[in-house]
Amino acid sequence: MSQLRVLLVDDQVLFREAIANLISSREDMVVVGEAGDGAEAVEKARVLKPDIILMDIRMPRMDGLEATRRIKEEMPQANIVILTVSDDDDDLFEAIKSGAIGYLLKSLKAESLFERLKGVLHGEAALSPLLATRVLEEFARLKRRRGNGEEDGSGLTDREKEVIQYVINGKSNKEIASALSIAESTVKRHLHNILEKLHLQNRAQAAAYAVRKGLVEEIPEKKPTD
Amino acid sequence: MVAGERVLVLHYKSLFAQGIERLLTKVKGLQVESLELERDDVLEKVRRFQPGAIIVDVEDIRAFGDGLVLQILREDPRIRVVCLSTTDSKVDIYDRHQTVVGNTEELVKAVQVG
Repeated sequence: MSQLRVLLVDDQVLFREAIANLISSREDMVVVGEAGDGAEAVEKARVLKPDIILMDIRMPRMDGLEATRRIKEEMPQANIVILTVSDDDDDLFEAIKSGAIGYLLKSLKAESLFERLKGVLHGEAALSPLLATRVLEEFARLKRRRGNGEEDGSGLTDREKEVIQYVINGKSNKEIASALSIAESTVKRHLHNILEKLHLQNRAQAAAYAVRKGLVEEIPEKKPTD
Repeated sequence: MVAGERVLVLHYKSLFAQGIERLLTKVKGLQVESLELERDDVLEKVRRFQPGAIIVDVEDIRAFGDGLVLQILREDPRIRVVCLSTTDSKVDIYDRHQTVVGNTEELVKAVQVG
């Protein structure tokens, strides 16, 4: 039986060791190499030519998204599956745009991971049903926007616009994180990106700018019930 | 075998926890068991096994709550609870210490020494 040859890319050694150990318990898969950052992943992919590359996103030197882009440019046939803790839409869509064939969360159960990796070799995308739904929704939204000729030129992503909508309504980072089911640190990152893109200094300026330019629609506050 | 060498991995079948369980099983001097947190009899199993240390994935705790771990600690405060994170190499031991674990060897040390 031919084994699925896997390259593990993650900066956390303990996580790599844990996953490598799980894979080693299987007869149909083998870890052919490990890398601790994106740059090392590009080098190892070139030499080892694995069937599948399991790639983390946040890593020093070169992150997993950049590594995915470089590997796919050089080796278009490479199968790269992102394995991350980030359930943020921006990371998900960026990974797919970069050429990843799958996007899985580290909270996944082991058996599900192995099933999805085997599916990749049969041309299946390795996506959990929830993430697949988000991808389809995004495509539908893009199609609608193109159909309506909408383009505001702000350069903000849909997620960033969602964040700024909550800022306009005076929500704290914690409240935004809770409303969007993302980490508070992710909200901070979105806000940082928004300010950079709009060349503004603080969230109040960003909120005012967004309203003035009509980038977002204000979210109506829920009225307290009697 | 003293109680301090018994290690229990509590998990929701998450990748990390399952991998850690397999890693520690190979370490000499550790008696490793694992339990799914969803089981109804998990507390009873913990009492019977009398672990010196419990390992949990902090993502599991975030997702499903820390009620069970707190109950275990209430019943036996001497148990070292080691919370691993998949986002970085920080490891919380109880709520009092924090250390950095880079690989299996360092994890074993954290489990044994605290």
